[in-house]
Amino acid sequence: MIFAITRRSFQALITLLILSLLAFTAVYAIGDPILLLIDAQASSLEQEALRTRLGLDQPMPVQYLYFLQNLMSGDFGRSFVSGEPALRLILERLPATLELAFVALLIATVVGVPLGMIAGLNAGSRFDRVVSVFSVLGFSVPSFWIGIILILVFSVQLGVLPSFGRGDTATLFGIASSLWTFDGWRHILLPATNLALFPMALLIRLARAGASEAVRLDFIKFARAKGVTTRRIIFVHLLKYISISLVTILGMQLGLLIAFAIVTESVFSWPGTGKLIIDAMNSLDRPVIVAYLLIVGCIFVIANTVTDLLYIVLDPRIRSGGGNDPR
Amino acid sequence: MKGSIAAGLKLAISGVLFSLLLTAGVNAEALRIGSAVEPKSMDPQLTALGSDLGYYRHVYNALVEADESLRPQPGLAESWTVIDDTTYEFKLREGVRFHDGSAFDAEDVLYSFERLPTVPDGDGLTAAKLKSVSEIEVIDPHLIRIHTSTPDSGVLRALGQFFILPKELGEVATEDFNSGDAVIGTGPFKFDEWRRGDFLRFSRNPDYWGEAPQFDDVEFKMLSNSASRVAALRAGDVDLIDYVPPLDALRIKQDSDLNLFTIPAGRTILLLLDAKRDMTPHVFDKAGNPLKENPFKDKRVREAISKSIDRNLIVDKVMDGLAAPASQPMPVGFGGYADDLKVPESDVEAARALMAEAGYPEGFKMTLNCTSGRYINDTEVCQAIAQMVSRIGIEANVDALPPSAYFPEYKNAAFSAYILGWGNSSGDASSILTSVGHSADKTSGRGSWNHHYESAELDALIEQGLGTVDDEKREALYADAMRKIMEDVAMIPLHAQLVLVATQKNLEYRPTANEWTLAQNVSLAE
Amino acid sequence: MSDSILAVESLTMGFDSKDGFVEIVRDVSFSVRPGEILGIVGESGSGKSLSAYSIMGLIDPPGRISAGKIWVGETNLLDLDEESMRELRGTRIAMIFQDPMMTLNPVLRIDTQMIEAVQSHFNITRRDAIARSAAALERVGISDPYSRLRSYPHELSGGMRQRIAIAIAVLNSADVIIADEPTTALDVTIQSQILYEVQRLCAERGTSAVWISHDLGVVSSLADRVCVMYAGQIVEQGPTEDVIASPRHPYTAGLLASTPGRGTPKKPLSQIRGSMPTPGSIPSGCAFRERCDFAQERCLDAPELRGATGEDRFVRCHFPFGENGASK
Repeated sequence: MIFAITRRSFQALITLLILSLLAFTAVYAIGDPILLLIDAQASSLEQEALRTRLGLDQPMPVQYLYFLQNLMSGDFGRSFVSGEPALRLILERLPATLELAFVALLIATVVGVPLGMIAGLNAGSRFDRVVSVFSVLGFSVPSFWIGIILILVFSVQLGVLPSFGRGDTATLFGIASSLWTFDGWRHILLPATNLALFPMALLIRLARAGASEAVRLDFIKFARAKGVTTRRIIFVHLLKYISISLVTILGMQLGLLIAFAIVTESVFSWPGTGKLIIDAMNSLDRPVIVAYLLIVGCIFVIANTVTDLLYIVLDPRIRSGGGNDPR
Repeated sequence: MKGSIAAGLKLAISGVLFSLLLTAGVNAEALRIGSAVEPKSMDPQLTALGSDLGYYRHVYNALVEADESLRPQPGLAESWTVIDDTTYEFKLREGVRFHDGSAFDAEDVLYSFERLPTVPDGDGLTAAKLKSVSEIEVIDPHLIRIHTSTPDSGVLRALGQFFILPKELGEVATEDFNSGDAVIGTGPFKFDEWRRGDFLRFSRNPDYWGEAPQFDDVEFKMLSNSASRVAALRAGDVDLIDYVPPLDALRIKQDSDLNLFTIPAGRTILLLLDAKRDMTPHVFDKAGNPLKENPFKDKRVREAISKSIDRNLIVDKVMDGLAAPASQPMPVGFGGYADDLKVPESDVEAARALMAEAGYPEGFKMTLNCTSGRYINDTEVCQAIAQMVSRIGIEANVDALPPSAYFPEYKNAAFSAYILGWGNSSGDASSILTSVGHSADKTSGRGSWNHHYESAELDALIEQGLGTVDDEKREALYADAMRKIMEDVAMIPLHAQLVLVATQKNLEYRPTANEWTLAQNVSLAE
Repeated sequence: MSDSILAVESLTMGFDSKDGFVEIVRDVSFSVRPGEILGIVGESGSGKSLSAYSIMGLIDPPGRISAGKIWVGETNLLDLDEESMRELRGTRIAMIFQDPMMTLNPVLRIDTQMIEAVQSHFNITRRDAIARSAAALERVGISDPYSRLRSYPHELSGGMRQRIAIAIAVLNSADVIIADEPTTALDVTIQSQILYEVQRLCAERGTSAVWISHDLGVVSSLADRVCVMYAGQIVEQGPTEDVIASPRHPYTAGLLASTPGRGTPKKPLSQIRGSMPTPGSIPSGCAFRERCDFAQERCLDAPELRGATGEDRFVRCHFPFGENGASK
């Protein structure tokens, strides 16, 4: 177990190093950030001066080495745009994105898994067909459009939910979050729902497939033969059995949600890292872009590792090394 | 069992919906503004981006301040006189206090000026504009003289973005401004809180020396997504929004619950043609082979292109009527505007004749380089141009790039026919003449955006104007320069964008041509 | 018989397919008295497992029971609604399945799966349910029951799991246990242990059992009475010793003759030629007709299950052995 963790951490480190190199090179190759940072009316002298000041006049490999060197001391560089440390900019905004991703995943699970399971248990019924169509829509309709529609319906027409922004935060157990306040929940509901649609569609399909397959298995028949209630069969036997594959997906989805909440954050002006990265990309703010990619890369790695560990916890067969009877 | 679960769920859902309906109350004393662009920092000396300057104007003052037409008005300087070509004398306002209670005097001006070029990672733009200032002489606590090394007419306007900081700050870094600790000015508002990407809040300064603003609090909500910004106004979540997209602006005009306010902005959209090089990269014959000569060098071709463009049609159809057709590369009312110049009329017949005269009766092919998403409907404007020039035989292929890719190419003189939107933030012709009118000159730094045109005559006019301190004389020179540009078709101005601001029914707003969104310009409607 | 605890009367079930209703179990009747073990023998596909599922009410669409009655005591199970049926399962009738690997949910602990058998029917605390489960485990010969309870299925051997399945079946003192080939997947030594346990339990508590198997040998050592099924029908029925010693149906005789261990050593095993017809392609008349060495023209008429009055011996054949007609 320890060995597995060490090995995985080493692999992760290599991945992150390659990622930093790719990100660095790609941003360098795109264009010259100076013209986006400085007012157009600056003369070429002023532009050269800024270039030198930001170290952009050095050749790329030199810049990259400086970058790595600073990385060792925890310095991800300073934003070309605001001058603030890139790491701090990202860490400031990360809690908001984590909140959003977490609530979105919650909604996706709480709504998607039961829907999918019931659809799978009633395969071929009208309910099943409706749910299947709905899940396809969740994949294919652009999240940007759905976000605007949600705002139009709930904020403009009905006026019950705010159209943008994050709610008030409160601190509990040393963690400041808008989830501790009622106002926070009012604000997070629409964007989290918007973000939840894609993973929800995924979970519905998985739960449906898992349920319709698992319900034919012998142990379900045996449970029925014992006279166990249908409710318990679904929520204990079936759910626990298919949760393994669901958890794997959920783990991956968490990383994806954090990384790609960009569209939702943009539509709802949610002050998270998604909006930060878009602005950084528009102004070629390389330190912020690279720092973002590295941090999100880390989050992915952590999410995947935790998923693997959860897998072990949930599937007792893996825990004791597979059992003594061949399957 | 199933029935009770369903009933319980229904009850829970209605409970949640009901409590959501009890929405948080709206504070009538607070003004909520939905902003398209966020400040990069709260250090007024870090950058001189137009979008940032507007924010600083809430908490700071400058010696002179721009009015709606961007003419210099008294700010912290009560009055000024031009002593000679290289000396201005400013009488500073008395009885003004900073937000921390300290008194404003000449020492603060000196401190601010000394800090200006030293800000690390700053763009140094304001310092560059004040480069000619050699010394600030303190005569008494409320009287200073600014000496310039050469006669520089731009100094007065440049002071408009030179915000005064209290000398009590001492050694202070940009971080201290961004956290809010060092944001102390003399302005109508005090700094309250800034959560980057979320909101920026100011509160009223009760001891303000000037006209008191109508609101106790101002909260700028950062809503860069234009669809969300408009939705927020519609939903009543904000009271005012800036940078209204033209299509939404039309609908807002017709909406009785909302008001729309406009003014021609300093930004003029120009079509530039490479009239400098003997061979230019993006022109081809109809078969696709590069042309041996550069057609844009011939003034008749440039004029033909200008004549083939129907500016009114573009304003009407592409800009939804929300732009002002341009007669010159500067909006009306700015210093140096030539009143006698008219918006060029579209005349396709005359244009065809000119093309034939110049030796291109069948026209040619060209690439029209364009930005995407930088100016309002930029790509659409380019497409309209491409359509219009097709009438005189020019097959134009529009190549649109996002700004981060477009401007580096621009700087490398990679284009032949291309678009530029110039902001004219100085409020007069100096800015565009210096950077786009004057030929490229590394030593003086002039013409840094001019890769396409060279005229010694125009250069002379510009240099003379820049060095003329007398307002009237200078503006006459600038007007001459404008005429020369239009006559020689050095640039093809299309239209000036409008500043578009929308508010709730109960508010009124006085927009400014520099596109600053100012809470002090908001008032309750009569 | 009115003193039977379980009586299946003319049970017919099958599947709805696009070609219509295909019958699998055709007009099957049998009964079990309290304390009695009834064996049902037949090849795979003969309909024996489905008969068991029918009794338990575990037939899912597109399958359905089209005719018959199933009596447990005075109640016809086919008249009951799902909830009443659920209450019966595990309390009055219990079932043990064939493959011990997949019978238990691999992600749940043994104790969870045992106590739910009790708690789904009775209001009982977890502690009491665990105690009852431990006692049941001990009864089926499992030592150290408490540590077994905390195990997961994959940590236990097949034989152990099957014992647990049996323990679950007797947890609520069911009147009838239906065992569907429970020892087929186990090796012979374990098999005999299981058989012994079942026999003991039934004797001790007066539980009845229906033991389904394709293995005549197993059935012969365990069951009091036996039914032989072929192509969805019962072809012979009677006390086990009698049927084994003197089979009357050619199929039964053929089965006995082809069982390894019964023939003389070194002599080649005899086989019944051909194979059992699949449902839907059953020949008219006697279903065994095409494989029977003694078939005659009369066999084109489907024979009824008949027996002499007063005797508990039935056979579905026009020319059964040991009566007027064919000799062995």
